[in-house]
Amino acid sequence: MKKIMLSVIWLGCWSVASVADADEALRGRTIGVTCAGCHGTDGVGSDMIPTLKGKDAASLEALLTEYKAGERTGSVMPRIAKGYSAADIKAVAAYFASLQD
Amino acid sequence: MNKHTFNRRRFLGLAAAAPAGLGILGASHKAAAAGTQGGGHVVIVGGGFGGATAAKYIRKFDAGIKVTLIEPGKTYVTCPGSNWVLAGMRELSSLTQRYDRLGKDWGVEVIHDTVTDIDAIGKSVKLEGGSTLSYDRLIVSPGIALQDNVEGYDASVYDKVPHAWKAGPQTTLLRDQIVAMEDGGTIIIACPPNPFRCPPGPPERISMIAAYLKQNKPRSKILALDAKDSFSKKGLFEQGWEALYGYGTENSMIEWVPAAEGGRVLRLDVADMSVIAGDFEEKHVGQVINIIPAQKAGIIAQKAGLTDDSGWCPVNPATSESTFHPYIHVIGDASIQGAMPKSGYAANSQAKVCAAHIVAMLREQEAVSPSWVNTCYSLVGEDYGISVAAVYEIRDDRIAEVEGAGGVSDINDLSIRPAEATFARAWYDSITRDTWG
Repeated sequence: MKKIMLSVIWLGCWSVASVADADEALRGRTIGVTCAGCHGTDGVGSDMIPTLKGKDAASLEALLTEYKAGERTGSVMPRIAKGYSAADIKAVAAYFASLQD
Repeated sequence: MNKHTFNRRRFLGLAAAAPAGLGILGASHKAAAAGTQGGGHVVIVGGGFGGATAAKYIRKFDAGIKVTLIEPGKTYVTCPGSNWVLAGMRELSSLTQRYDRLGKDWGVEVIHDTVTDIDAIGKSVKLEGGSTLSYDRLIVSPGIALQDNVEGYDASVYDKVPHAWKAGPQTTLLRDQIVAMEDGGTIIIACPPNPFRCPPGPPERISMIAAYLKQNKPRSKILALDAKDSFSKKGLFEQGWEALYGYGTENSMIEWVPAAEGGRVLRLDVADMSVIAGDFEEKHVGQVINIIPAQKAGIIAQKAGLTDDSGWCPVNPATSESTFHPYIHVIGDASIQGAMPKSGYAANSQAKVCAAHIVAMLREQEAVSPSWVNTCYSLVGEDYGISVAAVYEIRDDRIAEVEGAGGVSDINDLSIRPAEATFARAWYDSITRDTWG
């Protein structure tokens, strides 16, 4: 009986975590597709506009956080990054990192 | 339905949408990678930035949904970039987009025809070609209709006095007239009242014509008569005009007249190529006249009862669903989208929010919390670019700019202007590939 209870608790935690992951993934996609106007579909850029597809999530998150904090100059990115919370930035970084060929 | 069930369904839906090689057997297009869930039929009216993006992204989010795009033109010439054609910096052919990749790569059914009637109750559209299509959801993205707000200016004289506010032959006509003009002539540009397609478009047009004149006809002038007292990115444009075109000096190539000082154009006389403007009805003669008229939502939106007294289409901010007719969504320039401008980027962004929402509706999942961006670059000179950007969210039931974010290029940092001119061209390549590619 104890074993069953533990399993139920474990499954419950798994389910909560998955829902949170799914919410983050959806938030990442929602924001990520708005970037595509400049960074291209799935984040494949043009000319000077860098490709985001498949980039390391931690590096993207750090870069966006620097833009948001005004620690990095650029064209529109310092202005756009200020529009997102830390959780948004984490989600969108994870989204682009998850895209693979 | 309890929240837990909702979220589990959403999780399952998203998991199925992940690109994990779950494609339909035998399907070759990119959309196959997205998996299938929803089913249903979405019909889209209009193949500009809004309609084409919506078609592609619905299929990208869920290839199980049938998408039919109805657009009369076999090709689409973008308004973005068309001012650059006036300066001779770009060929019109390079601004011409095609629909074949939406079909081949994304599995969108493209029908080149005109929608003549929308039956909101029966959920169907009638085409000029005779057929009727039924839909589960309809997206209307018809762009703008030009108004006859200047006396003497209507479609019967567009071949003599171009508006060039829908890119294509009108752009070529204006370019040809400017090239044919003798040095020392005056080009009159009548700027429209708010709201209108592409707020920075008129000052960019002034800039691009000035760039051509400076190189080729340096004794010529531009007289910009405005129905407003200000314009988009005004400080940045005027700073650029001072740097490049002598703005503010006796030899300025550009004179801009606000409404308060007699700028509002009332009448056009094609016979003697003049306009009458302002409360004192002052007459101005031009060798070339470009009138950008007032605008409203595209004709089909008016005909289908999607417009309010303003002439534009009110929509639910989160879903772009018409407040007049359920199951019909209006996106792009024709719709009223809170703080968002009427721009190609805005239409592209609205299309994605609308696409995600429709996919969720057809899958009977919880609606997605939306987020939008607008980014517009303008050229003031060949190597002199400026930009405006904003992130949007829903606040107080309205699309509003996220506070503390967005804005225009730093007016004090001139070092970024050449880079932003390059970004403007890269922006064009990205947004058009994201929309039609």
